[in-house]
Formats: sequence, C-alpha cells, structure tokens
Amino acid sequence: MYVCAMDLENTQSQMRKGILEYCILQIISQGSCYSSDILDRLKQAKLLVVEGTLYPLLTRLKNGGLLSYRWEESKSGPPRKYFEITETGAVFLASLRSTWSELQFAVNHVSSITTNQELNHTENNPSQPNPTQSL
Amino acid sequence: MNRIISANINGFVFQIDELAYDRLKQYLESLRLRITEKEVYDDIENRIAELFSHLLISGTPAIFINHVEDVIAQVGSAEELGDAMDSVDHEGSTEGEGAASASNSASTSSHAGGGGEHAKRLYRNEDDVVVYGVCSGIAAYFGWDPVFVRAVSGILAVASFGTVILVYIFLMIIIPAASTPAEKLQMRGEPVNFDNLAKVVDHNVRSAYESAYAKAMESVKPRAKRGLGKTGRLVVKVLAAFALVALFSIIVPGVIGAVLSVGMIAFVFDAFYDYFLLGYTYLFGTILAICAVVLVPLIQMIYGLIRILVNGKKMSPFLRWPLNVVFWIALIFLTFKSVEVGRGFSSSASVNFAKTCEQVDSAKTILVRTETVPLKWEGELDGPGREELDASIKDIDIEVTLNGRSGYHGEHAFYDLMVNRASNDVSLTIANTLETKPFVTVFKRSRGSRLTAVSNAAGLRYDVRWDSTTLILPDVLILGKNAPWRNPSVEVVLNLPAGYQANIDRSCRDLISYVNDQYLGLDDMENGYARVKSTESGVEMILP
Repeated sequence: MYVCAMDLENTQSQMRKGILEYCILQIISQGSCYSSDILDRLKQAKLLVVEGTLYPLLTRLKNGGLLSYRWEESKSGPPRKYFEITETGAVFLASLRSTWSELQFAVNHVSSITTNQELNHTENNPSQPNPTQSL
Repeated sequence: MNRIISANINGFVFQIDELAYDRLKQYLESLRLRITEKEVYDDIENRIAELFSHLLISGTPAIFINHVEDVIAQVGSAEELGDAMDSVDHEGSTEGEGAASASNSASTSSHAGGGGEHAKRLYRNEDDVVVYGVCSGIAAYFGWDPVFVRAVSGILAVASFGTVILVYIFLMIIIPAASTPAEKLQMRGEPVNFDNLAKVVDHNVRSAYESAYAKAMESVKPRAKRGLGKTGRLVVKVLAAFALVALFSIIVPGVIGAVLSVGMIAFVFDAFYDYFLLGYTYLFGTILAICAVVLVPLIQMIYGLIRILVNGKKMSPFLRWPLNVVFWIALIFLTFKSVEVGRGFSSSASVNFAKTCEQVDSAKTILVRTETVPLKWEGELDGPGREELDASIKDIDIEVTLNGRSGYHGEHAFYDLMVNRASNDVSLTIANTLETKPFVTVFKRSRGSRLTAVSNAAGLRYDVRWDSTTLILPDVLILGKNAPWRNPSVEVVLNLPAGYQANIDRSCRDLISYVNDQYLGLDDMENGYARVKSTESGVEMILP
C-alpha cells in the first residue's frame, strides 16, 4: 500500500509539473510579470501547493532560453525579477498549446471509452445482484 | 522576553524576533542543503523577504515566530521543494526520476547521492573549543579523543619551552574553521550526503535554540564594526600586527636573554634572599608571583591582538578564569610581601654604650686606630684560599664594599659570608667634653618594624676597646647570623676633655675625613696620622 501511495504521489507531481510549465509560459506570454503575479494566478487556479516549487521551474525555463528577466526596484520590499517570454519561448509555447489540445483530446477520448466500459462492466457484473432476479 | 534582531535578506532590512530568527535561519539552511542551484535559492529567499515586507506594510511591528511558520507553510518545506528541485537537477535524463525518488524516500538509504565528496580535510572544530579548536580539529581528523590531543600538546608546550604555543598560533591562523555543515562532515571524513547533512543541521538547530543569546550578541557585533568602516578595520588590523611584531621582538629576545643570563638572575635573587631573609619558599613564591603579574597581562594582550587580526573568538573561559585567578593571587601575595618588607624598615632605633679611658698619662695624648675584623668564611671556596682572602681585606688598597652581601672588588667577587655578615657604615667624630677623662660613646643604629628596630640595633656587634691610651676601633660592624639587613650603621664619638690631643691613624681614613670642617687629609697620607686637639671652645685640627 505504501509503495502504491508513493507512486501515485510521484505520478501526480510529474503530471502537474508538465502542466505547470505550460501554464507559467501561458501567464508570462500575456505580458511581463514578476513571481508574485504568477503565484497569484497559479494559486487561483489551484495548481500550486507550495510557492517554492515555482522557482526551480522559472529558473529551468530561463536557462532553457524560453524566458528572460530584468530587475526592478520595489518601494516596499526587495527588488523584483520581471519575466518576459522570449521568441523561442513563444514558439515553444505555440507548439505546447497544440500538444495540450492533442493531449486534452486524447485524455478525453480515452476517459470516455473507459467510462463506457466501466458502465458496461457494471451492468454485466454477475456478483451484482439483479433486483429483478431476486424478486 | 525575547530580543528583536535586525536582519537582512538581499539588502532588505527588517526587525525580527530572536526565536523567529533562529527558526528562519534553520529553514534557510535546510533549503540551502536541498537546493543546489544558487539562483533558485536566491529567488526563494527574495520571495520570503517580499512576504515579510507585506507583513510589515500591513502594520506588524516585527516578524515573529508565527509569521515565519506561516511563510514556511506558504513557500514550502525543504522536503516539499526537494521534489521539485530534483527533477530540475536531473532534467532531461530518464534515470533522474529514479534517483530523485530514491533520495526523496529519505532515510531509507544513506548512500543516495553526493558520495563523491568523501575527502577528509583538516579544520578547526569550533563546536568543541578550549582555546581555538585546533586540537579538537586534529582529533576529529584522525578520529582521536580531543582530550588526549589537548593533554599531549599541553605537555609538549611545557617540554618545548613554549615552542608548541607558537606552532599552535601558526596552525590557528592557517587552518580554517569548519563553519558549514558540509565542512563539519569533511572534518570527520564522513560522506557529504543528505542524511549526514540533515543530522548536522538538526544538531545545529538544537544548539541554536540553546545559544539564542549568543547569536543575538553576534548579530549586534557586526553593526559596531560597520561603524569603523572597511579602512578603519584595516588600519586597526595593521596596528595590531605592528604591536604584535613589536611585542614579539621584545619578548622573544627578552626570554632568550633571560635564559642566557641565568647566572646573573641567580645572583640577583640570591642577593634578594640575603637582603630580606625571605627564606627560599618565599623566594620562589615571590619569583613566581612576579612572573605571573608580568606574564598574565602580556598573554592577554597578545591574545587580544591576535583576535583583532583573525577576528577570533573571545578567550575560552576555561583559560581566562584560571589566568585571572593566578594574576590576582600573585598580585595580592606581592602586595602583602611589599607591605611586610616596608614595615620591616618603618622605624629606626639607636642603642649606645660608653667606655672611658682609665689609664691617662701626663702627655694627654690619645691614639686612634682601627683593626681588621676577621670575617668568617662559610661555603665552598672557589678561588683564593682563606689566608689570601684575609690578606685582601687587610690590604687597604683594595676597595671594600660591604653592603649586606659582602663582596670584594676585583677577582674575588661575591663570596658568601653568611656567618659574619658585615657593614662598613662606620663613622667617627671627635667631640669636646667637660668630663675629666676621655671616653668613647658608640651609637648602634638600625631600622626595623616598631617592635624589632631596637633589638636589631642592639644585636649589632661593634666592640671598641682601650689599650692603655690607644683607642682601637673595628673597621666593620658585624650583623648576627640570620639578623636581617635593616640599614645598620655605627657612629663612634670620641669625647676629649680640654687640653687633650688625639692622633688619628691613617687606618681610620674610611671612618673620618673632617674635624670642625677642617679636612684631615688622611687619604693623602702615605703613613702617619692627623692630629686633633680639644680646647675650651671645641675641637680643632693641629696643622702640621
């Protein structure tokens, strides 16, 4: 049971990570913003559990040449890092978008088949007592 | 009650409660261990600073422990972030996921990663310090007991006459302190992996709460230093270095000189012994006390200068307190000793006796001469024989310096004369008297405490005698054996009735030079005597 739980967690985080990167690029592509803005949006969407996870992803995207940033002074707190999407990033995002819609389609498709099968399976289940028969 | 500390993250300064500071520090340290990429770590630190700035804007006076806990929950613990970090580290590689999950499942295996940095390194161990942590660092390196290393180096320090102390200072400067958890592991040669680091950090956190006060002090210190400025600190350091070099260039030759002149020192302290009759226990005690009073402030001064140079810690209390105790005991001892010696000289006393010349002849002439007191000899004779020495005393041309410790000029210097110690502080005066017969009065004088001055004076031996009309005076006065030296002196007064004449032999030249302000000229004579007569009006010299 323990090993199962670990695998589930791992799979979940892997899935979320891929989607997160896509979402981050999506948010930044709408205009330059700094981490706090991105965090707000992601939290509204309930995609983030803890804030700290954002930063490795941002660094990774930046190192990959998809994002660039500049420092800006803040009156109230520490200086802020403003991110912008690069041209490569934009191309990358475009292909991600198409991948996402493909995936969406694929997942929906597979899910609908599974649901139908499950339904069928339940109907034909012999262990399930048939109300008409029992009467 | 808790202290509020000023802290600073990437230039953003804020006030933080002491407890909250410790918790935050521990959290950041655990993050630093998990997050290998500095940029990511900096970003997260920045985010924390930003969250704090929101809190402060909303009116919170300072950051407290609950704020820190909230922020940690919001940003995520080291373990939670570790997941994200691992996948970034092993980006693109398929086996990365496997490795990440292996180290994520934590404590299951300790050889998960980072096994490459197994190298042992020599560090100073600042977690276990007596002086500067060099000994415990060496012990950690070889896996020995630090107490053993300390004991051996302590013995060596004494056996090598302090050379090991210089070696220690040298090592102290060149060996770095193990400050980060990774360095602490390297010091013991343990593999630097997550589990071991976590153990070190856990230990650090526990001791961090215990030493919250010390930490607060540390955070105050840099502010005081900032006041000096960079150049100021440099100037102070350069000055300290100069002072240190100057001290060493004085002390080291001083010590060598002292060792070379051991004979001289022995003489000085021997004279000391003789003069004050301290007794050898007291003598060694006094020498030790003088050393302590001089050396302790010197050691502390050198230590302080080195501290300025290397930004070292305060002296360990295990060293500081014994040094202070030794210093004060020595000082108190010396004070009492000085008072005792001072009291031994506080009063003066005079004891006198008179002897009359009974066999007066019609010539009414008195002859005054001295005789040499044979000084008894004790101890080994290294040099001239007994007869030779007596002869040298008799030989009037050899200057006699008999001050407490009797010594003779020239080759025969400084022989022990413990049996008959003598002083040549003897003087002669001629006076007029109304008595019919000439008589001599001897005043024996000595200093001492209120109680002992009189007995000290009475104890002086100076025996004048009449041999028909010749007055015979000893050339020196003798102190009794074990009698303390308290500036003894003798004044001999020869009282002559009017009409009497005194012939003063040349041998009295050290005792008398003038009569009634007239120079007798005994020093200039080859032989013979000076003549003095007594009249109704006083004493005067008969000019040749």
